Amino acid sequence: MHCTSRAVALTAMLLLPVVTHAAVDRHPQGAAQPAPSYTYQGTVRAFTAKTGALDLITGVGMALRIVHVTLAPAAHAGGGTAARLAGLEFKAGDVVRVECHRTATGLVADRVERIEVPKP
Amino acid sequence: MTPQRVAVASLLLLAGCAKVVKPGDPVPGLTRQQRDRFARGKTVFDSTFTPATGLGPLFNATGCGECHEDPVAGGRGDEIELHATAFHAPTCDPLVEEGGPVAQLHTTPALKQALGIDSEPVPPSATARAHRTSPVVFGRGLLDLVPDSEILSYADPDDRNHDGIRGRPGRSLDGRIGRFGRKALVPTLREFNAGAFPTEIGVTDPEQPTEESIGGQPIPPGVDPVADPEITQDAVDLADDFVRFLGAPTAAKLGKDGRRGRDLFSQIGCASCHIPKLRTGPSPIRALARREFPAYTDLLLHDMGPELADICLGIATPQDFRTEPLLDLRDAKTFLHDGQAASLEQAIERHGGEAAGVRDRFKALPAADRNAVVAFLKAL
Repeated sequence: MHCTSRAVALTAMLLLPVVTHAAVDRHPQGAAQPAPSYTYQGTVRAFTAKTGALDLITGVGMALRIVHVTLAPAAHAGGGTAARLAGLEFKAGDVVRVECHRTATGLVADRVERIEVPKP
Repeated sequence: MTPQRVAVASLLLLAGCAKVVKPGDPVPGLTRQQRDRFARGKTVFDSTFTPATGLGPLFNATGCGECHEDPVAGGRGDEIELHATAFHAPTCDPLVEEGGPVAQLHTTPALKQALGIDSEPVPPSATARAHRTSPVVFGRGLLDLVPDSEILSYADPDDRNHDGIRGRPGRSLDGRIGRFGRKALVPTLREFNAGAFPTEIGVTDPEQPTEESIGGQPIPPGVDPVADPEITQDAVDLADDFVRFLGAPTAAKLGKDGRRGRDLFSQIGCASCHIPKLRTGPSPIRALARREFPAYTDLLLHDMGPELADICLGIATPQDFRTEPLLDLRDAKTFLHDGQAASLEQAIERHGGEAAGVRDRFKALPAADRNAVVAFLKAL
């Protein structure tokens, strides 16, 4: 069961950029410019699967800051993406890379990738 | 004079002329342009900030040079910082939403007037506090260039050689190998320096353009009127170059005792973690590239036992500390990360955990040999 969930999550991560790009491709020519994208890589502080709220700790040296990101709710990323994201789980301490864009309500993730930190 | 004698005489002359790096000297071999940046960077390093130039509203010092000053700019300071985090095994919370791991000790007059506080409150969720001295920053540009592969080559997390010493690399929040800070959280000198402006002086810069909160609360209106970033990229770059170009001081000439102490330092196992010499990798700065330099560190995290334990940070547990580079000990007045050891002997005796065996071997030495080890360390 656990392996199945993991497989679903990994598949979702792999497919997510495809889905996102596909969504972008459906926009008609001449539509408004896409919002600038931002990339953050950091450590997960907290993740609420139900709402998709992801708190990421990033930093420059010892100057640490929290980045609040919402994992693409249906309103922004389309139902298919949201459904796939629903399988994702992150726990405090995970290292992730998030590509996102800014909306009126904050940063919304377009792509999330778990970074495997090598063991020595 | 025969050609052979000329060659021998030339070699002896070169050896005798090997550049001695004193504390505060730049690494030998910088170009004129780099020496100019070193000098201009020192001006930024030595400058004093005020609220009108971006200081605060929380800060530990009014400039880099306030804490890194003894015996010269880039040296150590007598200030003791306060850090706090929460450890919920196996994860560490740096409590960013409550003001972050550094609880600044001073406030600007405007913040004091607004909130009535003299320092940042320690996060209420903290499970531990730690005191931190200001270390020398000599030789940091060289440490920055030690390849990851060399650091990893010293790691032995499963103690496969059964010497009781493990060692694992620290990791930054984004997963890179950490080198800087007592818990090896910071992977590059650049980030450490750029992060020090907002963290230590309360001066935002282009690489971290947002002020931290006041114990998790927003800065009251009007308290921090200078627009962010409060320092230019050029100034950050210059200060970074000054620190980057500071050389690792050459050890003083060793006498008989010092040489005996140097041998004992290796024999009893100190050098297993305090690796005497490291080598840099490639760099566009020729003076820093592929150089062997005195480091006395493996840049790894080691479990130092429960008595030294304080805060967690990143993947470092409360008991983990990065091996401190032993540079410019001749000018040190207190020792260890918290400054609580009044002598080198005390510092060695407070080593525990993975270093317990080495500590015990040191304590078992005859007094003359212990003094020899100390004499060697005092020459660094």
